Amino acid sequence: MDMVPPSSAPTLTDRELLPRLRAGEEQAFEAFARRFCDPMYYVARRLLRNEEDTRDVVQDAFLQAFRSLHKFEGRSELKTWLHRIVVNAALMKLRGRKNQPERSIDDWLPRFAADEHHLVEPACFDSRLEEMLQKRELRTAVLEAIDKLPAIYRTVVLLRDIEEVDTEETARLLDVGEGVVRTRLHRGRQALRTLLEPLFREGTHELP
Amino acid sequence: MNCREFVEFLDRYLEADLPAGERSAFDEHIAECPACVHYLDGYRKSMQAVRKTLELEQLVSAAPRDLLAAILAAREKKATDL
Repeated sequence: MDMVPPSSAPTLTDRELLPRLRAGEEQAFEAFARRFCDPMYYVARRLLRNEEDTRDVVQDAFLQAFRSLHKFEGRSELKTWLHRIVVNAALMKLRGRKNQPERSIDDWLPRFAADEHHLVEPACFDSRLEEMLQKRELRTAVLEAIDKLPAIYRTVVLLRDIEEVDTEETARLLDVGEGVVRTRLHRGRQALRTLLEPLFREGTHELP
Repeated sequence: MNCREFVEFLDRYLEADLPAGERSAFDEHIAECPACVHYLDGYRKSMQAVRKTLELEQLVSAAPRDLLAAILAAREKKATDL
């Protein structure tokens, strides 16, 4: 597949780009795709974790955006509008996937003794965790932990905490109630805490 | 408030989504329970770790260089299909 050479044209603002897109200017479509292609790729990839599906979804989302541009009223930024299209397309792709056998999230939720104290004392996490994450192996381990979450929890964590979609919008996208979104988010985060504790427990890593 | 309750409703405490009376129950529990202080700290740091990991992964892995061409080619194909 050919690559498109870098453009020498200055980047247009939304205000400049939008009328040209509505007028169907080819250069405007290219400028739009050039500007948002990479960021939207990363959005889709975080949700889908699979290269082939990611490429399909990003292409479909851009085609959908091109078709719907005449309906875009400019009340949000172009990037926000496109982000929603990409997230929606990725979620549809996820819905279409065959269900993988998954462990119950209960396996990773905190446990309590009869007196309601923690059954296992929660460990302190190392405060240098951002520095520690410079190591690729550790980031891979974090990605594996995210992938271990059952899909319904992983999706909500990614939408709320990473894509910063609000509760109401997340509920609408997933076609569930807001209470369900809150519960899944909290349980997803609790499970991540359990999975990540062995990696980030204080004293686990020596740093130079 | 006991530890189970603290952990169960922690998300609301963090979102500042509680009436003052309930909020102070959390604050009191934190003042007397080091285990829950560690739990809360780990909960926050886990979120931070996930964000930082995804941010760094994006920096080190480039988007496919032919994706832009594929998008534009798909658009052209759709236009000629009509």
